[in-house]
Amino acid sequence: MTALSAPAPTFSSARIRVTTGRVVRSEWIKLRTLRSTWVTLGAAVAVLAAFGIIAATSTTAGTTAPEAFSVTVGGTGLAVMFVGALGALVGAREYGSGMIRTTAAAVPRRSRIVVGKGVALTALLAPAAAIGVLLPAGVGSAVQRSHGVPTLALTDPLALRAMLGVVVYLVGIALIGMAVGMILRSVAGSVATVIGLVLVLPPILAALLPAAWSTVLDALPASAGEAFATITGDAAMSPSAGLGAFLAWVVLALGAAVAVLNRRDV
Amino acid sequence: MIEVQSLTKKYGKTAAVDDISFAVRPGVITGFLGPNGAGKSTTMRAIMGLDRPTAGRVLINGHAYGDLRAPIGTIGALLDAKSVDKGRSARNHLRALGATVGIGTKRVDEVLATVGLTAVAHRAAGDFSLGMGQRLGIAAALLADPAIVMLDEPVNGLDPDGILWIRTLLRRLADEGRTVFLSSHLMSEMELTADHLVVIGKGRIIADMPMAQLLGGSGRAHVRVTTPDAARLQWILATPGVSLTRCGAHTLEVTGLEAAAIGDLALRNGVVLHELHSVSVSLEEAYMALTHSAVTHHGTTGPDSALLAEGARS
Repeated sequence: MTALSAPAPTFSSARIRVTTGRVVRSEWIKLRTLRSTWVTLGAAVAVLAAFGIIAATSTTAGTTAPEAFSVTVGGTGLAVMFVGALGALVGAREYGSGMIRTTAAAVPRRSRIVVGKGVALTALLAPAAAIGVLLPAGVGSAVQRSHGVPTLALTDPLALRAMLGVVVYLVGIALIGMAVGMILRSVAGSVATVIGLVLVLPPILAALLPAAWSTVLDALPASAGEAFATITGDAAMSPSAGLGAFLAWVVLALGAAVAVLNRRDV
Repeated sequence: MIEVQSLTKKYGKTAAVDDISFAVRPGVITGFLGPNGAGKSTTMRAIMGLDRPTAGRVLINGHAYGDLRAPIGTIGALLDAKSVDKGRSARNHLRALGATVGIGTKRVDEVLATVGLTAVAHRAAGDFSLGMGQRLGIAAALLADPAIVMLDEPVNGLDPDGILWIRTLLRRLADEGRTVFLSSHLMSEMELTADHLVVIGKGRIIADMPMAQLLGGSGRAHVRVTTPDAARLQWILATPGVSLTRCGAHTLEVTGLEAAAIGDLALRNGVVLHELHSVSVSLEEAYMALTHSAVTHHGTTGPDSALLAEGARS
């Protein structure tokens, strides 16, 4: 049958192909070419830095060195709102504009979309969050020392864990925000959900649930994150258990996003 | 080549398309005609792998969409001019899209020039007019040099220059051997653009045939002849398979004979002709005849043809 028909002209499709790396590159371009990315990212870094430095000026003598250092990276709770919003934007914004149809048509294997967006988001946020903790840690510690408050050196293992912990926590929250965004397909709804999950839900549950539920409460993202990102020793879980629980949340959220994207029409 | 095989897509209990099959072949422009809501966009979304069929399947050059190694290099589509982030510039939109298959800025700038958007390449897509948005969507469709180009209502929002431009572009793509598939609810546009037509109504295929056959097959194409000697010509032309209608003293409407044959016969018999021209049916008339028979056949009445006629006038 093919012998009878004229040879079909070949166009570019024979020479090109989609790879996961290229999808990452595509998402990286998308992320960097929206103003909203830089606004939310800038807000997160600014809040982290400003909160730490301002809090450091009022650290009183008599606090322990780990406590004093913790103060300088204490802007995490506020920064969570902005990185959650950044993640929600990455996950949900394309649904509002219809861009997702362009994306899904170009990348039919939907898990690659989740991986691409997740890697691009991590690659942008991790260094920004690192700056956002190093700045107040460095400046804040100097301020504290000038006030005669003992604090940790930046190279102290506890200090390193606190700073790395904050970066991991913020990136993880952003990824959860992204996954929720993909599932809910609404930026506003996703921001509300992430902030609710991290900041609002834990105290409400703690108040309502009997004490026997405390292990469940300890494993919620916020308390699990606290377990590895804080160094003052009052977290309920060990740092490694906290990290495990937190990463499990991130993986669960991303897995749910892949499952939903695969099942749903775009 | 696009092959739609027994495709059914239901949303809830309503079937947007109901067991449709057709093929779109390379080298010609295939029109996908039907009123709004007939199932054109649903079919196109299923072709692009965006909506999962309830039953049936679609093959793109023999492959399921999800198995294509380079989707945008195989089938480039304009599904909706708004499938673009408003905050991103046209150039960055195309850069991001091209990056999925390793296409760089050189080709991006090329297609921007092809669609005439070079001057506004750095402007946010949200500031574009509907026509500019259509051009950006067409640039995205052409970006990876695909063998198949599929456009959903491409002339929407284009000015007359833009419409002419797209008609020329589609013809060139088909002449290059590409598969060109475009939908429209505008019959006037289809009549000028498409070589082959797939007509859909209420989720079912009503016709799938070359444009000429659709126009000729409705039985109303005829040749109009004006002669001072109408009675004699009528007598000459009256042969089996030819039907003649007398319209006024000097005019005949002839079906079953080509204009050339009528002219030859008239000359051979010494009959003077004052007018001889083929009157083809418009696509609108052919469509009416088609949907009318489809409607009577199914024993239902619907607003389809009325809607379509309205679309054609607008």
